[in-house]
Amino acid sequence: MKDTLSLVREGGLWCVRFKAMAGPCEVFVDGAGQEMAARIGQTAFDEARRIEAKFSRYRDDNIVHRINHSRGAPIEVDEETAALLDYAAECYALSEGLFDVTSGVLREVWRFDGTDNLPSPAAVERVRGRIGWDKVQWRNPVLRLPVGMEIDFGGIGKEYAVDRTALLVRSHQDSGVLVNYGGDLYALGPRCDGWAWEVGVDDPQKTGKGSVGKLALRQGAVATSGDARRFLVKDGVRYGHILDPRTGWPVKDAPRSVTVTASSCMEAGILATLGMLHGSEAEAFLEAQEVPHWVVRGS
Amino acid sequence: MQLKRPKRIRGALTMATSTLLSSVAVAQTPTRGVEVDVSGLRYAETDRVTVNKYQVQASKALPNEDVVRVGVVYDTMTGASPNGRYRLQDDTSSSSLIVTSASGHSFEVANDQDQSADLANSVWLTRFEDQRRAASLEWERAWRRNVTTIFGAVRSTENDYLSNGANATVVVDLNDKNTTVTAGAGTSFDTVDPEGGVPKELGTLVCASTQSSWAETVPDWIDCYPSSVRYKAGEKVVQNYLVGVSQVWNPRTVLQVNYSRGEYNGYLTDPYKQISAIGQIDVSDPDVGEAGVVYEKRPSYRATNSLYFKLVHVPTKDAAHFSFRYFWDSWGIHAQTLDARMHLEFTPRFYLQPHLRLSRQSAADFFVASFDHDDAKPVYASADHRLGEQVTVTAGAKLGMTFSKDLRIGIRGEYLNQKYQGHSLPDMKGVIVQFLLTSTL
Repeated sequence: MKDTLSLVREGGLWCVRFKAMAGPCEVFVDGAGQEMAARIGQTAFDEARRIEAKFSRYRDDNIVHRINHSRGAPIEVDEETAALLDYAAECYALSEGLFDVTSGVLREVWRFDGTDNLPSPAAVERVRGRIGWDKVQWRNPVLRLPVGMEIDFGGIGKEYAVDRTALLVRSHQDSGVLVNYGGDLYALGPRCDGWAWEVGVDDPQKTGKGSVGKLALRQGAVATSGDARRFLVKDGVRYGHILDPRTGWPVKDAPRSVTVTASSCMEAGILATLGMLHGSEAEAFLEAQEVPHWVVRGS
Repeated sequence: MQLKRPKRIRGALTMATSTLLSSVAVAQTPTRGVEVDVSGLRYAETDRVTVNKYQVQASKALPNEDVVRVGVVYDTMTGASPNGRYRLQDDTSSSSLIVTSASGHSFEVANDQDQSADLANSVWLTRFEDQRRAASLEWERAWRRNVTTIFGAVRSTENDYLSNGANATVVVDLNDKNTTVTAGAGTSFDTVDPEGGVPKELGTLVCASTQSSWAETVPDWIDCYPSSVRYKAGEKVVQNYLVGVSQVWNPRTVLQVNYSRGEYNGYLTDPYKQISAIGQIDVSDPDVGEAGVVYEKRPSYRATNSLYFKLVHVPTKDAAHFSFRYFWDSWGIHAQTLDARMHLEFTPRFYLQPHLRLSRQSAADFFVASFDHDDAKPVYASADHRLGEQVTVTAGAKLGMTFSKDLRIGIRGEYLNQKYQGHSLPDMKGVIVQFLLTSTL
């Protein structure tokens, strides 16, 4: 990954761009000089890279690796990891098992490459035995993961990075900043002249080329869950990449995408994911949460 | 498939999220580079000692978040320091007072304020030139979330002095980091080896020659035919212990209490310090003279105790620091020190720290200014003014400037005045000027 930040002036705003968490990251700064924009950009870059290094499952030198190779032995985790595990436990309970950080092992049998290579039911069953937060012994600060199970923060890592970045940037400037990590956004206050940030909700049918709606964001977060690029098709049935941890299979009749706004990116992200996991009931679920949302369904 | 109305979980989710985001303290981005602190200090006493001290310290956070610090200090000390002896203004019998002190040269300096033959006016000063080099290494690790250990080693060498030491400290945070408990211990092995070895304690340096009428005034116990018995080197072992608690009283105030203890065993005498035996030939004759000079002798054990209280109050961006230290030891010394410092932030880039320190010390049990003819041989004796009764006032200020997050500079100036009681040493006045620089490379 390129280790650099770029800082350019575009459309009356400072725009910082870098790569982190396997995707493009942007921070827009309004109403500040170049030095301040650079400082804000550096803060964002450092924090995004820090979180990525600490929680990525692709690295072999961090707490996630230690946890996933603990072979059933108890591990004592640091304050930040403990807070995330507490949060994961709470979300598991609130979602009645739909949100489960131990479900990452399903990637061993599911490969969403646009082909028709579905795994066999037997293969899925074998992996299902290694999923389930209820099998994990977690008592702050000690975690005990049964052999064969894994923790994967991939579902909340980017949103966490957005919220943490916003928290740190706030000490530099508390308005006129928009953090955008690959479509998960947080706005710290509106733009300088009082106008809101204009955010387009991507049309999954025409990614990058069209939007199904625009929202005016003055403060708060936007997160999107979608299957635009990852799916399997067999016998005319489209299998989205959102897997139900309780069954091991993709959710039936899942929307193409769900976008939610909330006061934090993590909250928006969890609600968007849960919306997807509710399949045909996505709209009903999101309405019950009384949160602004957009559900896009394909043909 | 849910047929019932979906539960509203949003409220609980919002709360869980804000708990998560507020519980994780703003993490310190580990220093990507090496943080370097450079300092140059000049300390000058009027007519006395001048010290130039240069210090560099580098610290780096390792990938596993341990911190390693390396420090190097280079000092030069030149000038002249009272060695405990008295020099009399009118004394013309200098031929019987040849002096070659253990470290090199002796010369006399008279206080030019008062020309009378008063004892109060002159002291012998030993001139010296010394260089000290010290290197230190420290390794800090956070083991669990709230326990940190620090291990360190220090080695220091001077022209005639060597010190090797190691220390270990444990810091534990409790009560959500509102309470911090610190415990530490250290030990060091020190050797002093002046040219020719350390002198015999209470041995005679020089005596009035038998031809002189002063000879009769020499105290009986002083051996006027000094044996030049010298020992090889003086060694001592030092152990120190520290226990402390720091408590957040309210969001703007922190209190701290520390107790530390030192145990010194071995050669604790200063090989360069002497004591005069003053004689008076005729009771009716006001003239007094130095009849002899002996080396000092201190006990081979010393236990020191220090109780320290500190209060830091931060009402706004400014801060006030107050501290009080009470010191007492097995040599009978009691000392109290009061220190006040204000941190005033004028702009985010500049701050000023005015400082005032008052300190008072009582003399050690075996402290003597000089001996008389009638004095019996003491068990221990020292005329070192640093063990005597004194009051010190220090006042100054530091100015700090932040150029960028990678560069901070400070300048400090202090004036000190030390007055001695029960001793005829004139006041010592000194000035400290220090330059500091902190940078991240």
